[in-house]
Amino acid sequence: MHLTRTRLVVSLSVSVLCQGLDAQSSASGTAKAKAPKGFEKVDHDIHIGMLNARLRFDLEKFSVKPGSKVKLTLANNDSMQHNLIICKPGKGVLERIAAGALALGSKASEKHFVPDLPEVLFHTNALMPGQEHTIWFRAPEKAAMYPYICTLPGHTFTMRGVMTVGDVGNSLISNLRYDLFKGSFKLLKDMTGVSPVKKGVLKNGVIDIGRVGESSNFGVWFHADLRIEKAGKYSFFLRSDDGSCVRVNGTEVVADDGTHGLRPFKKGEIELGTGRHELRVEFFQGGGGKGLHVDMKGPGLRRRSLTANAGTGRPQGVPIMVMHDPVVMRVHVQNAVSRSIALGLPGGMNCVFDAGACRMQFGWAGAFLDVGPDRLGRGGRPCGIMGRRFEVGDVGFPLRRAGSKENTVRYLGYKTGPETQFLLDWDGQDVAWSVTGAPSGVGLRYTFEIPGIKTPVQFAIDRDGLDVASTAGTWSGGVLTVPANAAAKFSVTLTRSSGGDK
Amino acid sequence: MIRSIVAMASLLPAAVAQTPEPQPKIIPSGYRVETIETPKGVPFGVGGLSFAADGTLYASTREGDVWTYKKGTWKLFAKGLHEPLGVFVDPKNGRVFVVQRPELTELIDSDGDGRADFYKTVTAGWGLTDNYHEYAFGLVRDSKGNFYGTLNTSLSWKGWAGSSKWDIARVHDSKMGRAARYRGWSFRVTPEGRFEPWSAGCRSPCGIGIDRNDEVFYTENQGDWVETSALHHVRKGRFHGHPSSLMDHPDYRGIDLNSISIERYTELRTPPAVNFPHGDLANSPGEPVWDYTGGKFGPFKDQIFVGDQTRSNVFRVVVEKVAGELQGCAMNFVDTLQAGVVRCRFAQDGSLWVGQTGRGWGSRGPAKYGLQRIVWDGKTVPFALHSVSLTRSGFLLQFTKRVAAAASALTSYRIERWRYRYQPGYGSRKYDKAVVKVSSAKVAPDGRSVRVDLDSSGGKGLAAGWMFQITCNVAGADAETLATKTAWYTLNHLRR
Repeated sequence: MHLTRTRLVVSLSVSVLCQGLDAQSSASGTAKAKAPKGFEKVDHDIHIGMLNARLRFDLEKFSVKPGSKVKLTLANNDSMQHNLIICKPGKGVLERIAAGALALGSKASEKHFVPDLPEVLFHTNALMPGQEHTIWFRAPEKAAMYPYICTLPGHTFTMRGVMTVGDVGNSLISNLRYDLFKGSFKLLKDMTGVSPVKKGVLKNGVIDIGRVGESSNFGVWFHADLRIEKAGKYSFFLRSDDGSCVRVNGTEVVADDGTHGLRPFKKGEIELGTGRHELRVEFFQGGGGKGLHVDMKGPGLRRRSLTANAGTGRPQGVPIMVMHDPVVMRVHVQNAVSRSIALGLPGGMNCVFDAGACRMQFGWAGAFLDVGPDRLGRGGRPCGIMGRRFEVGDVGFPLRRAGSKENTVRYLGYKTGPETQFLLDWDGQDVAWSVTGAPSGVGLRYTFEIPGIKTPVQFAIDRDGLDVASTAGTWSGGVLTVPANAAAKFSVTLTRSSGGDK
Repeated sequence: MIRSIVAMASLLPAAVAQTPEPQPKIIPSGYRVETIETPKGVPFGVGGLSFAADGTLYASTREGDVWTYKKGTWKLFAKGLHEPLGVFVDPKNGRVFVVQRPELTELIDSDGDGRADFYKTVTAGWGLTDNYHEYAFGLVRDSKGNFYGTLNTSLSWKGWAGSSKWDIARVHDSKMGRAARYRGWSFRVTPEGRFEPWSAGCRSPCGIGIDRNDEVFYTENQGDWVETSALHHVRKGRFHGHPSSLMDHPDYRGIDLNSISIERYTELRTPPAVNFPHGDLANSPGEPVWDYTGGKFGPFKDQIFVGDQTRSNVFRVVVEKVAGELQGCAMNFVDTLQAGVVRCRFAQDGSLWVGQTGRGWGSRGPAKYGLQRIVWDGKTVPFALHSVSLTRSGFLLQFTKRVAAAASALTSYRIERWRYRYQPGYGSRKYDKAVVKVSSAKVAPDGRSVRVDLDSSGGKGLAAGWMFQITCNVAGADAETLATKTAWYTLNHLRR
């Protein structure tokens, strides 16, 4: 049976999570998402948030039974807009959906960045920071991996997850419950003998300290059934802020006790036979940052996380969004020179120009910049790129005159608009270098305007890992020679060659 | 009556509060503070202020924007700048310039839509690393079209993990140093756009200002090699005291600056024109501005106003020429404002606009950022100490109004003196602090000034190289109490 979008049941009520958005809060703060008819009881209750300013969902995989009733809540605890679209499996689907979202242009906001494509199965609204949105749907009958993404410009590269539809009974942990304790605990043993103030169930089978309803001075014991298919030695990896431990059948396997911040993973091992075992993860939190990460691996089991990527500390990032126009920003960028100009291009490509040496340093695919390091505290520190870096074959200022040794260049400024232009003085010759994203794939397109040029021009690049194309001239290795009659305006496209993304 | 009030109110800019605002703890009578609402939801750490000829305010923010403000409306003019800590609008043609970390830039709106679309580099003549302390401050211009600004030193101290990232030259183990060219210099940029290193020895020169005679001044923040925050008089080639900048001085090329003694640096430096006692008046002063409003801002015509980031106050400074050099006094004015003050500018209507930021530097004013203005009511003259000038035997204290006859009593004045020590360490305590005996106090016939003479026998009175704190317990002729009763005078040179 094939599922169509008409079976999606959506509640549009939006509740507001945090302060700072007074208008929405008074309008809908009391509106509680109400389950539609037939979904009062659901099989799976999935809760997805974001890792602040890191362009990641805090839950990147979950499993549901074929045809089951699913309640999915997307909570935007980040500082920029996000949505979530669950897609049909298939090659190139995510790219088509991302491109379709971008093609919505000025209609994107009202359509929640959701393109009208058959590959879209279910989706939430595009949520402003602080909003949350719950949707209810019946899972597909067909067992498969259904990817989900955020389609805000540039986010698709990193905001991805997978909903597995299949036999949930086979999952590693099931019957996940928790006991919540209140108190300012300093050690794990301080929780012993304390009566829980609350008991709860986490239906999605993900150990998540963000879902027990407390942020400071609490403790929690997670209980679950651990199902082992193959007997042998199993390893548990643990890190937390503050203390935690993992127990299997009552035996402590690994502990990271005491009050502290996140530190490297600790590892513990235990021999387990096939069948059901009793798992208990104990955790407590004082004040400040918090986090809990539990991974396990064993015979036939690749290392996997049992926890949500969840919530450490308070939001720290200040992400800058790129929507329909390029964003130009002078800041220090990590691994770039100090006189850098960062450029965020519509469509998810970004790059950083060196205003001293007049060269492109590198690019990245994803969202633009986290300028928190420049804006928070004393500021002035290098900002982080929000995506995956790609090389642009930088060999310094790329233009040459055939047979000429003179090659000095001076940066004059930049012009903003639909295309960003860097203006240069090249031995007395004006050059305008504009930059856009490559028309397809991961890369950039440069257009050089050299008015009145009477000689051939060479464009030099390190072609390693790049596919190149140009509107004029001939390539020889990494050098494009453009004849004088075509040099007044020519374009070069650099894209990461398939296989170049390693 | 009611109708006329309504008519007047409609002439006021929309942002002016309709109900009386809470006023600072210290504010002379006749003055009030008004808060200007900054663009909603926009972080607005003010880095620079400048008024265009038509009264439009240009404000650059530490977050990288330039906004204009006219008739109560904010508009974004430019964005994406690298912490622009100074903006200058040409009064003749409206051209807009900003100083940002990497360069001096002209912001050009070539299509006339009210938004800059051409960010034209004027000069990038100084060195820059990603050390967070490498601020570039500005921006003022002289009558010939030369710009002036200042470049902060780079931060470093032993044991700080981040320090090894940069190659920071430090002198005598001081905390700040030089990681790139011309850190710790003031600079000039000619109308043709040529960068000229102007004077050396700055540490954290947060504010630059220029008087109507094209004399340039900068304010310095207390720290290593800076005994207390101060106002320096800038002249080409001067050395203001922080030595690591001398690495870029042609006379010191190849010389180990650590081989030069503190005594020698003391001889080389031009001491501050006016010291601002740390903890008493200012801890991290911003830009100095001159009251050239012709009396629209009250009785302090031609005086210098400086805001302080930490204390969040605005204070007054008066300089005078003694033995060929400028020195003078400083007095508190308005204290405490909503956030740390870094920029001050007089508007055409004579009000003093105060640009504020607290982020990362900490300030008494609790707000993170903001914009306020100080307005004089145009009639009320507060009873205040107007200025202090040096005489051969003491000080001439001038008041804004007549003093009571009791002002001739010696006990009406308490004068203390101390010395600061110029040293590589962080700041200086007050050395040799002592009360100075007042030998006479003569009220002038017009009752507006008092000549106070000191007992200088045994070298315990007037002497060069000392700070003087002068506190007046004087009532006005109509029994008014003093709004400003303490002044600090920096005595670099005695009157001959």
